[in-house]
Amino acid sequence: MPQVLPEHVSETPRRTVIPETACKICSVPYIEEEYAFPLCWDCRRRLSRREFPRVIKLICALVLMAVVYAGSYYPDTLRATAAYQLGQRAERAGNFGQAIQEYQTVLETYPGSPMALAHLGISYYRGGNSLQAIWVLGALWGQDNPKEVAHQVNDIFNEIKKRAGVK
Amino acid sequence: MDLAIPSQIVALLTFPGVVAHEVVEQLFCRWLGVAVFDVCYFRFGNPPGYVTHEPNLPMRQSLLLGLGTFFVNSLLGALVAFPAVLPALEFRVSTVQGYVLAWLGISIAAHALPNGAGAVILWRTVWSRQCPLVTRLLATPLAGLVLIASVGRIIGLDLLYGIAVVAAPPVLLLLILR
Repeated sequence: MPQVLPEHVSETPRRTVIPETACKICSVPYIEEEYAFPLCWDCRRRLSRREFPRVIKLICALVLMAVVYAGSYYPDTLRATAAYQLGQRAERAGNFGQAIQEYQTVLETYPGSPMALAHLGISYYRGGNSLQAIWVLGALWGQDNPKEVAHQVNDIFNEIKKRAGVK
Repeated sequence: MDLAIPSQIVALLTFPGVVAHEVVEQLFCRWLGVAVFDVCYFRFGNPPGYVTHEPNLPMRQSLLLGLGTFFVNSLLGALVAFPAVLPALEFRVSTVQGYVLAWLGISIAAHALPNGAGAVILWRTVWSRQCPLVTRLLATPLAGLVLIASVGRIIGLDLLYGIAVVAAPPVLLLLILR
């Protein structure tokens, strides 16, 4: 709402006529000409450097702390994202050894990630390590897993059951 | 105004964003040497906060004040939420601190847009005679978008903008990596 003028600006003494070229706050005749609103250098600087209330400083400090806190997660988040993408590529290429390594890197940062756990289990299974696959995928058993991996995980469990002769 | 009620509810739920918007605007006023007459950091009204600065500013100050606040708050919101939104999208990981960061990011970004009067001033500045042609060509789409979005506040467009700003960088990063 920048159009509203402060109350004290209009409260100039009635008998004093302030020329258009005088400062609206202190009435000195030296105003900054590049601005449409007539203020002297001192008044403009004083008004522009208005103090922040304590409670606002506190809120700003909390927001800054949140920014720093978020910033501290950047390296791990980006490392895990890159590792996950490399794992996906390795898995698609049939390089399950590398895929397992990459998914383990993701799980170091996000141990509870159902996506990373599922792909780690799938990579173990496709790489021929069924026991490790059962161990890893067992953590996902009975959970509401993401649709992208639920189908693959169920297929693996069904294959294992079939091979083990369990109904 | 009955129509203003949703925006007041949005403002209450996203109060850190209201405060952040006014603080950043006041900091821009300090940096540009613009006189500030009154500041309200939060209130139950429309707009939920405001900075009353001197009117009819030179073009450079007016543009920087309007667009600077918009860019800084959008960037701040995106930066805060990024490490929470990226793992949620990629690894389906959700934590309490992640929700807090996402809420804070959306709150800040949702209030990046100038309020109605600010958006109108920005649009007028871009279309003033003093504004160079190149600046006008570059700033018109943005000023138009800001104007439409500020009007759309009554239907919660500011909140949608906040969500979009927070979601866009992780989605773009994942698209690039894939």
